[in-house]
Amino acid sequence: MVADKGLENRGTLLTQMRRGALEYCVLALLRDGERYGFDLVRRLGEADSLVTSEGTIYPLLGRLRRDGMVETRWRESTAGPPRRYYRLTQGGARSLDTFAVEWRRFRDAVDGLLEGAG
Amino acid sequence: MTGDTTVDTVVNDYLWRVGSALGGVPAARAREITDEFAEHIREAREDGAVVTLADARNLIDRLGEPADIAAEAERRFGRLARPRAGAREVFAILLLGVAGVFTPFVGWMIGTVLLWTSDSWNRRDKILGTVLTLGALPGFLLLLAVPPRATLSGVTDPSGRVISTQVVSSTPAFVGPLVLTVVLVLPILTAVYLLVRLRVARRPVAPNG
Repeated sequence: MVADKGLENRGTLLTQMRRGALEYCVLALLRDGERYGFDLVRRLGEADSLVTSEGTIYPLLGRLRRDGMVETRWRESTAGPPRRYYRLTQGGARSLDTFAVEWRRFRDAVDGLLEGAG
Repeated sequence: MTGDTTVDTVVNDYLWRVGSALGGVPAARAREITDEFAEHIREAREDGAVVTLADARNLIDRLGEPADIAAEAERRFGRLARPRAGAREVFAILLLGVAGVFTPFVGWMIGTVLLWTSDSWNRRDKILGTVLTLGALPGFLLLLAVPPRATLSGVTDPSGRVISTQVVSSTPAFVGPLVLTVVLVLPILTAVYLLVRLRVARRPVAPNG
């Protein structure tokens, strides 16, 4: 029973970690320039085991926009009607930088322990 | 062009399912998300990523189940609470349901205003609630205007006495039931629908952006 609970907790933990990291992955993809929805989502979808349902990225984008991390603007497209482009705000860039530092420190610490134990 | 139409059908069906699943998030957020899904699919088609029906189904599979998207949207924007129907909703349902019989025109007008100013239904419900009860606007005047009855036509002699009568039917037999459906049955069915939708329409637990 204890083992089952442990397994369940690990599954939840991984989901939480993925969800937490995902929003910074979105910000990271926008660091080099603006992207339209389909392009952004397709690139995130290509990253292994990061996103299970690509559609869930849109609620996240909406949240990031409301939090001032990203902003959108419409641009003319040669392929058809105007497209909505997402781009990083200054606040989003700062948030991403902070996360990147913390993430590397966290990753190195965990890696060090995992490799040391193995 | 048949393939195009089929891709359209599959896409529209999916967008409709996503829209329906998002009943638990604030209406404005739900609209944003469905707009973005529609744009996503349009961009995929413009970029040549969706040409065949199989492409469309693959794209939809990748986007995911509407229920999963709704769950994520609820996590990001806050879940909506259980129904809290007030007097506004009760009167809207009653007025729209029986206006055709009891209070044509004014009843329908008030009912429609209450329906549109309520937060308990989404826009689709409001449009359906308005359109399907249109028969209640003129109410029974519609029945009078197109009488589903036969008229008695008589021939009288110079003294005014009726010497022969004949039944003249001026309207086809189906008009009566049709008008009755529009004035009476549709509004009642719509009221039931609005009542059912009220159970799923919810308000934010904690307004969350």
